[in-house]
Amino acid sequence: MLFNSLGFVAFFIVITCLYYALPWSARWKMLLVASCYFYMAFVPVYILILLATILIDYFMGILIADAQGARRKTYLVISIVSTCAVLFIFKYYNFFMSTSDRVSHLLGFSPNLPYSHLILPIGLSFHTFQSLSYVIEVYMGRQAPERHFGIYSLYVMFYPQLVAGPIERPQNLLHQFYEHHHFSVENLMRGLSMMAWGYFQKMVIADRAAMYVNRVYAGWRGASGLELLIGSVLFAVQIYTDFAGYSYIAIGAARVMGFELMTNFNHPYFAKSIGQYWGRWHISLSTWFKDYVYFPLYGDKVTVPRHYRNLLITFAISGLWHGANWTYVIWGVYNGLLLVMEGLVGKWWRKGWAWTTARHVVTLLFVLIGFIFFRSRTVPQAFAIIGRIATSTSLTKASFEHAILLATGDSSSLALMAATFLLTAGMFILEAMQEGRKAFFKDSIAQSVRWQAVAIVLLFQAVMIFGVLRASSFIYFQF
Amino acid sequence: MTTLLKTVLSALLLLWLLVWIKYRFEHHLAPTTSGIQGELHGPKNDILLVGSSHTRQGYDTALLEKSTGRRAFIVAYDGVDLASMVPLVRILLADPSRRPQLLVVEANGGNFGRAPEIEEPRLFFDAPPEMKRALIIDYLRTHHGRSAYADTWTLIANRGSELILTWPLVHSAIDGLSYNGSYLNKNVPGIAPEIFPQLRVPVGGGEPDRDQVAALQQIVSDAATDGVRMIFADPPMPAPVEVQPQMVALQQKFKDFAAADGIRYIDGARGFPTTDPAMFTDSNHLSTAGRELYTSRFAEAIKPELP
Repeated sequence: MLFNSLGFVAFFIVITCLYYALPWSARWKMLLVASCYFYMAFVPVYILILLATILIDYFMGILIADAQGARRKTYLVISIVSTCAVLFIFKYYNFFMSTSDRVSHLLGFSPNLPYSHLILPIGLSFHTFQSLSYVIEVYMGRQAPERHFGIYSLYVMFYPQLVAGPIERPQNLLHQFYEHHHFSVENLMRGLSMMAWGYFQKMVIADRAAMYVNRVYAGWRGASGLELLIGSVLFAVQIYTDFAGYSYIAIGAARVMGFELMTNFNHPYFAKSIGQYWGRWHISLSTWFKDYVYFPLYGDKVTVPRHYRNLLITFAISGLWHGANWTYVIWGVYNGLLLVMEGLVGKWWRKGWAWTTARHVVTLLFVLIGFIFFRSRTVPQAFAIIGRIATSTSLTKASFEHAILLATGDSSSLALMAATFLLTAGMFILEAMQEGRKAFFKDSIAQSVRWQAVAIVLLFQAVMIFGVLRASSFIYFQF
Repeated sequence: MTTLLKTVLSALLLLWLLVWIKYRFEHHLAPTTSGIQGELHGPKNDILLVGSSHTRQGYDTALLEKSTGRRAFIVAYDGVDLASMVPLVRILLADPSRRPQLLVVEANGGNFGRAPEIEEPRLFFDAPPEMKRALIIDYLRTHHGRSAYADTWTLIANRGSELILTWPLVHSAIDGLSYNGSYLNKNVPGIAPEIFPQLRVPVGGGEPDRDQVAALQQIVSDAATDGVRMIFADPPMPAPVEVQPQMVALQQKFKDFAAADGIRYIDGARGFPTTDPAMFTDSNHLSTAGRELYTSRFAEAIKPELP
């Protein structure tokens, strides 16, 4: 069930009404059933995989808490290995086989390795990471084990963040299922306004940008440098608005029922360094890797070379988390390298308007180059696209005409492209205003029911009139 | 709850108002050198050609005017089929003082075999409210179920809205690139010879669609009622497309219906070098060279039709 479908709108209204209509003791049961229904709307049988992960980590959490000494670590390892095994079988098995196949061929063998035909369960990487977060927190002693199986299941399955996050921590979410959430206009309007902003980002910006991106990348071999450049810039817009849009809808849907999920995006394209960028992009995943990979490797509390090694390892794993393809691994390592470079040359930056602008532009440029790896199907394709943009981008009137015509192939191309850039510019201007006047937006607009009502009404118009009304999937569902 | 109710009602009321304004007035933002509004607001035309992009890219109006000595105008929208042409022709012939001497309706075998559809939002955008209404009624008559109503809503409220946002830029560009509905100073190259043999267009089973047949007869009847002389014309397509069995069957059926109604049918492919890749830019559109050649031949062919 896609967030941007009429089915979800009906589901959301029914579940929210039921949530407030039911007595407190029945709410978690209803939410759990609703979450199962929501998940089963994709591929019903895959709920069994989710159930297996829930069962393993639920019991391991209790065993870890009740055990002493080395056994605690054993249970933690069992939990991590079994949860990661599910991830490996469904997500990485074929990648592992194809890599082994290639290496074998290079060594002169032809092993004919068996490949799997399993479809990746939707949102597998998200709920396995949320599950792992719980077990690790229990092991670290920062979270008491959840002994109520239903509540624990709901922690993993809570429908707003089940398929694409935010990847919650038990300390933030579990206790909320025990709280009495009374209906409040503030929560309702705040939640709805966040959802409206999410729908705007997804349906007005991301899906519109996707039309051009899909055409360019599908026919990248014949595309000009300028077409690839425009396509890559639009992909950076698309992936941000697609995923941030999903996150806003998820956070808003939870907020309407009184739940507070963690912020997942904080205007990442306004970052002035790669370090800042990663503090603003997919925050729930970045902090997950920081807490459970980077810090256990002793982060920056080691020698400089080891610190840089830690960064590279963390980002390589983060890249692999995104997908079973070398393009994602390279994208991860590339971001790690950028952080290393930033550590080396960052001290040369000076203060002042020109330097700040330059930092902003350079950061955006490097982020954009990284996304070419993210969007490409193969590593050679990514390098070829970067090479063509760098060497054969022509800025003549004819090149622009040709590039614009690619959008739909007919006279509607110019309107589509102009509208896409205009609406995207409008969105970033709004974000810039929020960046510039954070306190005003946080204290006045975000707290005012009246302003939220205005935002809902206006964003609803924008979605209905300028949105792409065909329900299309979210990019991060594939992870 | 009052806040929520007020918000929902405000959102719906404002949406209704905006959509009504869009529906009622958007055609005033249409370009003035092409499309419906170009035809309705320019000088009276002697030769009026109506069709899809197949027609737009099939004729050079400047050349046609030079060859015939008459004013010519193309009203073409991508993918327009006979069903959409019914309200289009009606609106173009509505004013008796502006009726052309010759109406040329596109005879496109590919469109003849498929169910009615509105492919290009510009058609709906450019249409005055009465034509919009006719298009919607026709769409709901030929499409059924919940999706038909959802499509209609999308058509009214959503499709073409980019044009409202960007019309000063887009329409000045279209105005600068077109002359009386055909391309101005635009060089469309021929197709690569190695791709040429693979060219095909998607056509159904070779049987004409029932609604398209009814639309064809309606256009003939409307033109006769309005006293306008009309012909059907099919600009040439590449040889590999012209010989597709379903295409041959559909074109033959089209010719049969035209003959039964006593309407002349100009087969553009006849005597045209359809095997020359330089004449075509894709599976059903002519290149600049092809357009110029076909327009010259077409001008000679219609001279006897002009008073």
